[in-house]
Amino acid sequence: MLCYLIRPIGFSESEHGNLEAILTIANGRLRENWRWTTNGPADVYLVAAESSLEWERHSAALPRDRLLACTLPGLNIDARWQIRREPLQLPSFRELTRMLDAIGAELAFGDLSTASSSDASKPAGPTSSDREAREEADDFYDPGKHLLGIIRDCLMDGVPRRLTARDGNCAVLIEPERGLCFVSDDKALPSSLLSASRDRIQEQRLGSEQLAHEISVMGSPGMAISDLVFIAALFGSRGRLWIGCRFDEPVRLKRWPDLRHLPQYMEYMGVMAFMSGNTADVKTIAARTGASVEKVINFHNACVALDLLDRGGEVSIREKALNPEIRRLYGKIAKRLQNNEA
Amino acid sequence: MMDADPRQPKLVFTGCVGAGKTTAITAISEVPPIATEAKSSEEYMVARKKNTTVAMDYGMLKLDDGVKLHLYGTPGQRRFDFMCHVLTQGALGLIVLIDNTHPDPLGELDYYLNLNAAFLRKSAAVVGVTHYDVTDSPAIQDYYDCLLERGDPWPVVRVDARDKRDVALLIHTLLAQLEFG
Repeated sequence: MLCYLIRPIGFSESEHGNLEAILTIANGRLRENWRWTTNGPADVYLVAAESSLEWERHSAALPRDRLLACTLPGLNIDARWQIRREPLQLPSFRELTRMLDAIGAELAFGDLSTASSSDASKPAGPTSSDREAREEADDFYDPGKHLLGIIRDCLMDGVPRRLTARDGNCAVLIEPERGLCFVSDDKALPSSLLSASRDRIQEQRLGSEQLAHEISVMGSPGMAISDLVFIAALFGSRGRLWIGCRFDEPVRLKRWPDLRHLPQYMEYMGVMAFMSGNTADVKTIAARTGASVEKVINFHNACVALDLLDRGGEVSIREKALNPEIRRLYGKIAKRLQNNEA
Repeated sequence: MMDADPRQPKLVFTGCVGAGKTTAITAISEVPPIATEAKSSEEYMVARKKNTTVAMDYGMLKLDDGVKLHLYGTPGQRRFDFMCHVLTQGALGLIVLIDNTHPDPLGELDYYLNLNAAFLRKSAAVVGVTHYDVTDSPAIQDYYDCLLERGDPWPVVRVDARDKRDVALLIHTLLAQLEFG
């Protein structure tokens, strides 16, 4: 579960308290976790707009695609996200949860970071590029700004695409209808494509005939898009935590990824085993397994991308007193198996 | 329950008839495996598999320092279930192979985990799903749901028992569970 910040604007102090109480209850039913913040940048701004003038004032100073307008019935404003409330009342619980889930779904893929055409004309301020600044400043991984964002668009609109890294020769064909993708070099996806920002990836929409032709030319057997999503997050994260996640958030692996398609799976074995039996934050996972924090974060993000994690539970770590001789034995068996495979 | 002996380490492959226990041991053993087979009597398997293990399968891998890793396969037929308890004595861990084409693969998973419940209280298991290329129902997620209901944390890996890399993957996964899980 991801965690997003929401900041109320234009509400009275008592309304703040009530909204906070509503959100506390709503969090149990929301797909993601939402927290109030009273200052600083937020993922979404809940704006009390009782008039067009008030709305314009707020939307000029804040990233418009992050505004959730809370308006009186009959007030028509140009807001992407809007919920109604009666005079002197807060928005209904049901409407608020529905809207936050819808916004959360887009935030998860970073859609709101893409400036809309109307945003382009907005004056400087904490606009949609705020997300980009946050990603760089806090060093978070925003999937919507990388290969994952394109894959997600492709799955949403159902249009096949050919993706090429601008500085590489490898191409990836995505066929959303069958949930498959095809890689020109099936031995390895180049890091130039996996870690490139979205604007460094050349994206070409394909018709069905063109797709069939390109697949036959490529001669690649194809892989599930979910595998590409996992690999893209694993190698594209480069040690940056998935935006919206917290370093101190305890996580647990709900299920293991498909190891047969996980390159260099041996590097993650200990991490996966620990995460499946224990609930802990990324730094603890790294300390307990001997993996680098960067590696744990990369794996964590790949699991977030495929919803393989339980998030936000209580820390729960089983202490294991392993006989050193048995531990050495495990190492010897693993080494023997690797020799066998070679 | 006997503790694992690091000088005589062993792994046990268990699971239903036709899940690929003998095949998996054959794929990875460095000595010709010893198999004790008789004519298959399990109804749903007769067409595909003429013979089945009745006592045990045995294979071996020699480690760097000369220590032998013993690989045992239990018989798949229910009437030989007692062999499971014999073979898991002192074993490091358990590899449960489930044939996805079985009429009730999730029931089989439940059965073998129950059969070895006492052993698994102190050890670990990995679930290998075979013949997934023949049918992908139940899906891997269904296995996890089944394990979740039982409260078991074991990983589920889709494997081809003929492929030694897949069998090695199962063992690597089991070792990781034993060390870090």
